[in-house]
Amino acid sequence: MKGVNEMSAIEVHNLHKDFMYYKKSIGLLGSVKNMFKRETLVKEAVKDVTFQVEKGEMKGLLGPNGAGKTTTLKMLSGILHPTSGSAQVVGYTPWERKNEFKRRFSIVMGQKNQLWWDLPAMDSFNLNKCIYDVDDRKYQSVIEELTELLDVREQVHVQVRRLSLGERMKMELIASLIHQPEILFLDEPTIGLDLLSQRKIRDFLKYYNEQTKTTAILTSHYMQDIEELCKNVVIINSGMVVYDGSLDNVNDILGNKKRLVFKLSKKVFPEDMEKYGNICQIKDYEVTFEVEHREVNARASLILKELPVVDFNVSDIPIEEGISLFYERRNI
Amino acid sequence: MKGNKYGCIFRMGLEEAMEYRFDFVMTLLSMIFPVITSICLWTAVNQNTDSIASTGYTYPQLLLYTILAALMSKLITTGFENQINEDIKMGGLNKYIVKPVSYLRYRYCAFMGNTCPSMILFLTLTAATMIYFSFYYGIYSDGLRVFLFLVTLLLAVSLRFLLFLCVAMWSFWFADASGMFGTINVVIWVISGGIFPVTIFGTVIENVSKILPFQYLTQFSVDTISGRLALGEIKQGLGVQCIWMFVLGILAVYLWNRGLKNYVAVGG
Repeated sequence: MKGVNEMSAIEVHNLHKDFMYYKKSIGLLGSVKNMFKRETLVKEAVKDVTFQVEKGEMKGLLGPNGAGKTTTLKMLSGILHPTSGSAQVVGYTPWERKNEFKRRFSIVMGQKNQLWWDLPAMDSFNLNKCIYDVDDRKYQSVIEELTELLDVREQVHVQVRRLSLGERMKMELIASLIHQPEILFLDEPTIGLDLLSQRKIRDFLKYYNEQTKTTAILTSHYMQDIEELCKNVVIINSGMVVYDGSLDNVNDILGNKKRLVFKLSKKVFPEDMEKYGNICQIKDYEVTFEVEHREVNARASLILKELPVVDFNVSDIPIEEGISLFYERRNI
Repeated sequence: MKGNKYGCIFRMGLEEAMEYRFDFVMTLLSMIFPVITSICLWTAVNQNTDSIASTGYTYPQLLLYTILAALMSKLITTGFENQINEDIKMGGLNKYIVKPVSYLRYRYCAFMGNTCPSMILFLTLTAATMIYFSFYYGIYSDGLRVFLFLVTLLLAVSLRFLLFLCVAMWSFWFADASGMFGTINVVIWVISGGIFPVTIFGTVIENVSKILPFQYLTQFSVDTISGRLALGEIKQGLGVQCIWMFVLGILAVYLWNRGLKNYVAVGG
């Protein structure tokens, strides 16, 4: 068991959140009936979620839409009260909403704007400086460093509503880092951005995390974000944790399978190739098999011997597909 | 140097309002038509009957009332209730909850900052109107009365804020409360004396309205500057204004704390 000084930066135990909602039948008649009698239903958005994040670690929180990722982040940032369970973020219970706690973290929501829409981002930065009691010298150095790193020196003086989505997200990041938080919750920070902007934000987050050792939880739908930024991931599906561990081990857990890709000199009917393994894809003269790791040599030798192969390649199952298999399973 | 956070929010509200200065000028222009209609109506009443005396106002006082009440109604139109409704409905409250700042104070400072340019324009137009009426109708205001008017005005703006803050909190319990705001705005416009003095509805309603908060949003300030109220009545009115601010302040905090428990923070 860990001592007080060795406590993880974020500890989550059996966190549970239910939402009440009303069922409504389709159409106008349904709306009229709804005015008099409503059927109340309960949705378990998060079910007994438990995980830890160590100091300085950037952990990925993965799951399909509606899995409970954002609800978990909202509880960890104190926006929502859980139905049951406990959580400690840098020693504080988030939903007690203590100001001392609020000064130690930040949350960036890719789908929500936190800046003043009609004013330049610089005004919102200055407001955050006042809200978080940051002194002038520290504020100046943070702004200079961050605007330089994100290449937005000129854009900080332009009204937020005139900025591109990518520029706005960079401003959101700067605004959230002005008070140099120890904990950073990043909820889909690259959503909707073009590839170049995604890369810039990813590079920035990587550099920032390495330099400042800020503890972070990142949710993203882009696997590249997770692969480049997080060594460890928590995968949740239907509100439950289905995997908590190293990203490298995701495929091992899934049966340690490999992909064999063969390029053929002529077309072969699929039914003639089924005996060599599970066919994932056939594209022109290229066929992809999925086989157990221990069978790779035997299968490859057999295929090379019996099929008109001109080239071949062995690879891991793409991490994205491995994770989507987790999404489909409720328990591993 | 560390800045005062609420002072900073006030400045941001002021800057934001200056981005929309044209909007306020247009709102003022939209007021001209109802003011002219009211002036024509009172003029016709004055020429054809003696019933104007029953309102408790003289004809020049009524003309002055119509102009100042119309100006003031525009000044205290808030609009922030829609922002609060949107924040609650669409999950926009999240950004305030996670910061070491009080949402209610944040909204108040932003609102006061937003109101500042309108207030300056309102005071300029009021001064011009008063000068005109002192020349043509002999209605004067001394220094003390002007000071008391400024106090009632500041309290009226704050009272309006608190009243609509309480109304806006309904958004925690209703899926969309914005439809209700329009109705409440019109009702408050009438019962605060925004169109004509509440006095014309009779003594009973006048007495009831003295203990309710609504006439302290418009009529009280206008009657203070136009010289219709005695100093004793102004002091009493200021007391009632302060009591209502306290009551509505407590209610707003209570509704906020209760409502926050209902808040579901929708959206990703």
